[in-house]
Amino acid sequence: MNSAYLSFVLLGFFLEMHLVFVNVIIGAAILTVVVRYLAYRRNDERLDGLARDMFRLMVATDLFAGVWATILTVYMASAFPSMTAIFTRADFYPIAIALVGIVASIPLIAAYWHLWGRIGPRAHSALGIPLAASVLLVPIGFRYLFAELNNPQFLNPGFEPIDAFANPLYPPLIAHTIIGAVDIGAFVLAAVLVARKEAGLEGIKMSLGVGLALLVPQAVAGGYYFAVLERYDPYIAANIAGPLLGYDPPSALFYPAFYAALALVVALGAVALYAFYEALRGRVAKLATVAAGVLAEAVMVLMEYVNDGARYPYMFVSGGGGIPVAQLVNQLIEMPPATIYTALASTLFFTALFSIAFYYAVVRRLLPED
Amino acid sequence: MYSHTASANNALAISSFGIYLHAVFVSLTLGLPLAILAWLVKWHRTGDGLYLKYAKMMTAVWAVNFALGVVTGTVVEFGLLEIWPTSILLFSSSGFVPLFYEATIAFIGEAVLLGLFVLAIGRWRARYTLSILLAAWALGSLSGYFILTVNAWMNVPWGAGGIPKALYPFLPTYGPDAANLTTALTLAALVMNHTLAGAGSAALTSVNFTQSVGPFFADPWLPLANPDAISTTVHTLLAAYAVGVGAVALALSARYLKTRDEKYVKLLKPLLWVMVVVLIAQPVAGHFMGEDVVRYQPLKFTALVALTGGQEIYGYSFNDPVEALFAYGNPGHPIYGFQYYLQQCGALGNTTFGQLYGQLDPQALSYLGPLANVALASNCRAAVASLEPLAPLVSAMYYTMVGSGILLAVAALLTLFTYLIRVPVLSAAADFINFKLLGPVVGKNNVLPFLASAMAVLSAVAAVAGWAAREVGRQPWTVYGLFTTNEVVTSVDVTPGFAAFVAAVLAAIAALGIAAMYYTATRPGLIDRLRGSHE
Repeated sequence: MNSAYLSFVLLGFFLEMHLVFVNVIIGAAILTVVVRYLAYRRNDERLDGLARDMFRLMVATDLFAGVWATILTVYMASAFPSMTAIFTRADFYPIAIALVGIVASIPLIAAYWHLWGRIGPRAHSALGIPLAASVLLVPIGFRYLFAELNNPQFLNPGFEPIDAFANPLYPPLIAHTIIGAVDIGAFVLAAVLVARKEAGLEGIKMSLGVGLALLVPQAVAGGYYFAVLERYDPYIAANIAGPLLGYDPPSALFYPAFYAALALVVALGAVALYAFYEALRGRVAKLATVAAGVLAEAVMVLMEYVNDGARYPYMFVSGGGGIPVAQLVNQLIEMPPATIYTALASTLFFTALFSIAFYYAVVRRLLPED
Repeated sequence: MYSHTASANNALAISSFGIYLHAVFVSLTLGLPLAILAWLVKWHRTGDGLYLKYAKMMTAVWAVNFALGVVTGTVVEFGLLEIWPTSILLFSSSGFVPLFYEATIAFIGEAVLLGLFVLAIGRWRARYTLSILLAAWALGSLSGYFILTVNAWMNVPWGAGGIPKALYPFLPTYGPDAANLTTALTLAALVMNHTLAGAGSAALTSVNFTQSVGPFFADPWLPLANPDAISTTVHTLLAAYAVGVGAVALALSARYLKTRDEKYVKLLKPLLWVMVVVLIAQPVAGHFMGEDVVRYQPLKFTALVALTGGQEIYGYSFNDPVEALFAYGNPGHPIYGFQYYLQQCGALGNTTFGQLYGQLDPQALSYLGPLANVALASNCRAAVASLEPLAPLVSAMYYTMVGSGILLAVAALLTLFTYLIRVPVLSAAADFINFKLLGPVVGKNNVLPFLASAMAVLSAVAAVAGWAAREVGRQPWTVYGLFTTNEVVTSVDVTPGFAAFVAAVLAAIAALGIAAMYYTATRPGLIDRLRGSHE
């Protein structure tokens, strides 16, 4: 395995690990704010309890997602110095927007939690708006980097950092990202709720309902994103869609994963629908609900693998070609394999430990039974 | 090259603010576990629930503080990449191993174990709880070591060998020759050329950048063995422990003075042991760090002694027996002034950058641009001259640190021999000072809280001043002898408006962070609420 390929794979691994948690944060934050508002409008205590559960899920995940963000950033700057430098120049303002989101979200989370029940429900619901906005600012900013990779604006003559906002790939990408994140958040929340000793039927029903309802707009956003990719990045589009849609893909590594992801989406829809139907009848389909949460994360992991991997051997893709990964990979040092293996072992160990702690904290203890 | 652009000055201002803010939170993150540890040990030994109650309360503060540290750390990390993009070179060369290990071993481990400790405290057996706490604290300290290793490399570029000396003859050799000379010259040419054209960091945005420079650093592990990394880590971590534990001691002292409730003194005493041990060890660690400055950063050392040397620091050399004794072990050793270094630059003769590159790295000649005709000696003199106006400020910070350190040691000894152990003669002397001299001034019952508060405040003053002396004294370089500040700053203009915006955001974090910690610290049952009311 050459160093460029290994570096590319590792970057992808760290990104995937980060996104597994980030999508839960985004989804849980948006759902918390919406459900809290509904609880206020309907004066429904059970909905208020559900919103609190969603919020706790977000808080428990937030810090660990931040840890993976640090790992991802450090590795990106280490392995791809000039790509990182390009981002810091070309996407200076989007990165600043994301940073403002990170910085603003923490105090807003603290304020939202502290003031829950201490101020009027209307004011508290209103406080949810800046909270949701701050959480959304993070993907809103950082997704410009992905748009830059797929349609590099900095290569345009006379490029100024402000031009980054005009990337045509960005609108479908961010729509796909945010709808997907809320969708994943909803299914994961349903899985967490069903795993508790006394599963709250109302919460499970609502989470599954939201998840199912968002599958359709998510599919539309996906189609829109693919259409734009096809126009600006035929190379990526061919790798994603493969021969089944009449393309001649340069690599066979990605379209099978894409179709596997589509199959999982169908499976997700089926199990979620079954679980939702059972919930409507007043029964809890524990296995199907947990499966929906797991499938939602699996779809995200596969789709992101396809979306980011399909550019290989290029990093910045433009039309049918691009700037190769090998041209951008760090050559200033030879990365010691021992460092990489130790780091991987350590991150996997601590992620396993976190998962166990998370299970006991969120499923067994942190979410008090009503 | 050596006069900061307005953009660089604005960037320096916001980065300094951000780093100090992060340092405050990190100091607490490193110090609070020691306070929790001291109380848990007392609880384990005595069974007194007061210690457990406050250990749990402090755990909640620690968790909040850690979250704030993560936020400010993210801002600092991205700020580093966004505002100082040439620093990406550190990530991708000498800083790779420490930064990667910091993220993938120390930081992730600390975060997970902190979460586990929040779940465990008061529920699991004491030995498990204490083990988790100690492991989390050790990983936090390890994180500090990795980060400080990178900072130490910026101060003492271990492995750069004789490269800095080739441009600045007064500089020493920095360890083995692990840096590839040709690559270093190419890198320098690229970055310097872009600096003259606007911003050195623009050099990295070329998609051909890594290919055009090639292999730079042969041994990525070497920075971990940098002698300055060891002394900097020990000194800085001790300072962080002192500041963190000191903040708790200050809060307890203030509560005692306000309420006269003896429980605060009871809670304070276990912390005093930590403070005293740290503060007595600190001057020794500081001495070794000072020795590194003398040996590896001669210009900075001259700037440090500007207040005692007076105008003589601008001359060739002068005598300062006290500083010379500590620096060289010989009170008669001369201390060199700026004129000495300017004269040393003369050793470079009339050689220009173009001639140097023509001999050593002809392929990089094309990257030099207008720099090709600049004489190495005039470049060297410009570097020396650029530190001269900063010397009084650096020195003021240095002596503030030294003065605070002396007072801290005195306060620590007075606390030790009066309140913690009894030693003939020494305890009598400490008692005399505490009760006959200090007591009438601060009040007989206020001596202990006064000493604790003094240690807390002076620790913070010493830490702030010491770090300022270290970092400002590194000018005009970001990496000593290799890269200047102007070469590192972003090519995007950092306007006063942008700087003000970032400063306002940071100030808001500071204010909200303090409020959040106060809120947490004044609600002892918070952690149980967080863990679930059904418990």
